Amino acid sequence: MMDMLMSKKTLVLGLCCSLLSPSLFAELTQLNDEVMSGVSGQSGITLDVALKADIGEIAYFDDGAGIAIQGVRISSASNSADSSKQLYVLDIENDGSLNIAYDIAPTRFEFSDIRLGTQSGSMVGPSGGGFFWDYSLVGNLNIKDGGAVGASGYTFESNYVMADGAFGYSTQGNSFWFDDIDSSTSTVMTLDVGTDVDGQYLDIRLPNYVGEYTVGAIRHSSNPAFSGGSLWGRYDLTSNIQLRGGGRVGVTGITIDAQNTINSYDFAWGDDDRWVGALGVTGNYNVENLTLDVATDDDGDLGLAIAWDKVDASFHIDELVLGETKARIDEYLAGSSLTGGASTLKSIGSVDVEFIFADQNVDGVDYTNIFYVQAGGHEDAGEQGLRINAQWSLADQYGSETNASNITYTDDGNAVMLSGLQSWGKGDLTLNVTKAETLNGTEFFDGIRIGFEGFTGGYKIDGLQVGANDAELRNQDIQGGSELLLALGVFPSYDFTVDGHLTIGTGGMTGEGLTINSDIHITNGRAALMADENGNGIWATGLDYDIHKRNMTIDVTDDGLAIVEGESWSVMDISGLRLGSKIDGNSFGRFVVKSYETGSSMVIKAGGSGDICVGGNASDESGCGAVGGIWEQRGDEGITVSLKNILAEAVSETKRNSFTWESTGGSSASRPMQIVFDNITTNDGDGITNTYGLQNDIAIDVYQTKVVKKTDGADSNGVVGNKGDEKITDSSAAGYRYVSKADMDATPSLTSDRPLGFAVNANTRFKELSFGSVQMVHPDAAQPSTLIYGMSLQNVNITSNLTATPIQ
Amino acid sequence: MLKNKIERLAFSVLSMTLLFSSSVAFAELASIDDEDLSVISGQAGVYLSGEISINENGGPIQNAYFGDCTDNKKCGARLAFQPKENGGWFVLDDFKGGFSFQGLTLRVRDISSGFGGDGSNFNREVLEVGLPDQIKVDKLQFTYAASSTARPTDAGFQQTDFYTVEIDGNITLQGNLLVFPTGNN
Repeated sequence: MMDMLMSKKTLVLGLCCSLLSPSLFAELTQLNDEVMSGVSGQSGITLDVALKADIGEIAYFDDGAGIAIQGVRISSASNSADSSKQLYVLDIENDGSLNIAYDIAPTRFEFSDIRLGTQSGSMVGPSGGGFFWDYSLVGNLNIKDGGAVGASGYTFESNYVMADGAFGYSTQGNSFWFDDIDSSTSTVMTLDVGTDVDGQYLDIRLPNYVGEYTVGAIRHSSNPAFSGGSLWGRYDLTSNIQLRGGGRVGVTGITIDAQNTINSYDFAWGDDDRWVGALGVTGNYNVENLTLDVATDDDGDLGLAIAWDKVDASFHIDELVLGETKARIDEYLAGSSLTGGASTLKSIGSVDVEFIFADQNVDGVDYTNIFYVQAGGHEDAGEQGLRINAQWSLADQYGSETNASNITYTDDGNAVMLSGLQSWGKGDLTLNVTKAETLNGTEFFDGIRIGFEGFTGGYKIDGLQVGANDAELRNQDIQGGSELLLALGVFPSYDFTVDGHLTIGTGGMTGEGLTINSDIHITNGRAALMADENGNGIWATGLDYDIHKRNMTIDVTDDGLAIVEGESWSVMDISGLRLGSKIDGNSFGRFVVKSYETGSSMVIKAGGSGDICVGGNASDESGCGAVGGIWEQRGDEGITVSLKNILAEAVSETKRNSFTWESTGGSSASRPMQIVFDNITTNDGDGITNTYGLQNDIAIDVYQTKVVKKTDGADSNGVVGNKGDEKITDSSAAGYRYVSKADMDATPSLTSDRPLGFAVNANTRFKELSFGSVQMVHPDAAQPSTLIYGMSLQNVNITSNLTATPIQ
Repeated sequence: MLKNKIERLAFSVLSMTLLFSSSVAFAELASIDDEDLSVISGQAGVYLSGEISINENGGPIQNAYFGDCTDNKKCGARLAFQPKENGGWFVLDDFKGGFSFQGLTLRVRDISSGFGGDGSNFNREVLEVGLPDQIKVDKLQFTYAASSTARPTDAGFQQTDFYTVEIDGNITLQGNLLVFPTGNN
């Protein structure tokens, strides 16, 4: 028994040392006065270390296959030729615990390559690239007997402050890194060896894992003076982890189960002191049977295989903030009155997310969650890079649970849920740090390049559910409404194969920010313009969508999140616009949309429509009533997306704005006939300048609306009413009743019980939209027939206020 | 007077419908009965309420021709198109106004029964636009004209206004608009 206890303790202590090794890469430096004050008068051991280490390879082997880091070095952060200075003071406290105080001068830990193979000590082949980590640490670690499970475990109390931090990734001599990292952490961790029906496991519990961090800048080696902005986070987490030997493949490997609670988390990204943030995040996430193996994928390529049976999460973001200063965010989190602006934050509202990643079958194909992390990125980018052979499966149903995955957006207390969220797919992701150059015929850009190779997948939602954000929300009828957001590229369902890249560089339109260059090619696409939960709708099938973006900047401004495109062009070829089934529904024909824009932009702002008069033109409630409108006060929260599309003159066959509809008519012998709207451009009304473009402001709210019964008798839920009666919510079993116009007039307060809907207020305006020509094209004709030699639409300002509710 | 305006609008709606349904699309108006309604329960689809207004407070151009709706300049939208190369321009000018409604529904509907037995022969899906019973039209107006240039600010601009249409009041639109492809692709 004693032997068993001792062996457990040895195991636990050994693991502890492994887990804590980052802080024990410990070098012994000079103990400063602050640290000394904590140990003054005590007896103990002081270790003053100058550490410089160069290690050729460190490898982990699993069933004969290994993953190795090579070129490992520990040195001073400022000069890799110098040692890292580290100081440790070890004491035995009065309660018998071991106390280790440490002070680590700026240190760099780095390795040049990650490789996978079977030969210990000499792995060759593609490299995953190198990482580096700079840090200085001042902290304290206390180790005492007794864990959470029993006396044979250990308890660790750790507090440290990290400064002078940097963390980066390098390939082919190019680096992308987080700079000026400061953090502080306070942790209590217990470590035990537990036993259950599956055998022994390592029990790790962190009941209080709290901390705060800042990242001063995000940088790329092409121009380290540019910054991608700053990051800030503060957290309070609780984790229980069970670690076992043996993975999913072969005999060895690692298996992890975890139950985690987010007690609170605040996170923000800032750009020239304007921040977007997710504040007041709470929730939990759990991991079942997550395994780590070094194993081969279906193609026989070796990788670190990360797989799980189930990952579920449920979390709430209390405020999604756009365009605030850090000072005001700090005031809000401290519970203080806000200064330097409005009395409330610029918030779009709150978001709740539930999801389950688990195995499922989609259209007869089984999908699971497994990710092979492999060495070698894009083949033209050089030897170094990462590749992830990914397969994912986000389930909309799990066991008896329906609507297992969903997203709920709450605006001024009213909510809309994207219900029955489901996603699936497989393909390769690549990761390289690149610079602007052309290698082997492939154009690369400054930044971290996320590549997609044969990335085949899809997603769908069943529909929307609208109601107060409470337990009743899930009981509301599923309805459409996403059709109102097609202008934003929101589709309720999308199948796709994606190839291409998204390269994220540093520096925004002004000062800090991000710059995006991308080339994305979607093939075999099927996008729903509208769809019900049975998959019937209007489908753009056989979709071939080739999209290019150049110098697209992302900045946080006073207004919100601003995205400005330098140049963009795309060709969307829909071989069949089908009605009904996406597979065999009848087609309206083929549509080809070409787009070429320069200087277009999108700004995402906090706040929806505010106060508006629907059905009348008035600026206040009394005036609205006088003209027969309905005055709606949609609150402070909500989202407004402002789009400006500057349609440029055609410069090539692909860089142009045109719309083509092709139909083969009513018989198979018919040749394709096309009508082509060509060279569509915007200008400022003078035919010369082009700065105003086509502007769209789309405000999204959840708000009450007037719903009128269209026929006499019972509706689909058996609720009886007469044509023209208004739907009013109540506490009946159906949740509503119909009220006559006379009763509504007699009791005006009933308007406060009108049903909630998904409200979209859109304003479209442009000074001039010009069409170069409208032509009829037939393959048997030598020349196209021109219907219209020019068309000009000027001085347009269209506003629509539409609210979507279920059909009943 | 109002009747004439409504008839003109009905004609316009019918013209638009025919235009939309030409070639590969076919549309029909049909009443939806209780039996058909029962199929709708719990399905996606959308019931829309709201309004659409055009140049309610003028457009974005401010020049010698266009202004806001409170001065003597035109504040509506303008559409000009040239049917003949180097020829004149047909113009729909000073287009403005608005309309509001409750109960415009959109959904994809499978018709395989009903319609006096024709449904089983038809047996296909349609896009069903459920028309609102009442549309309130608010001072919707436009002017037919012919012009020498596309823009009123172009050199040599001359325009002849033919007539102006104004619609104001309630319009009854009942039934469903069924849209479906009849091609073979």
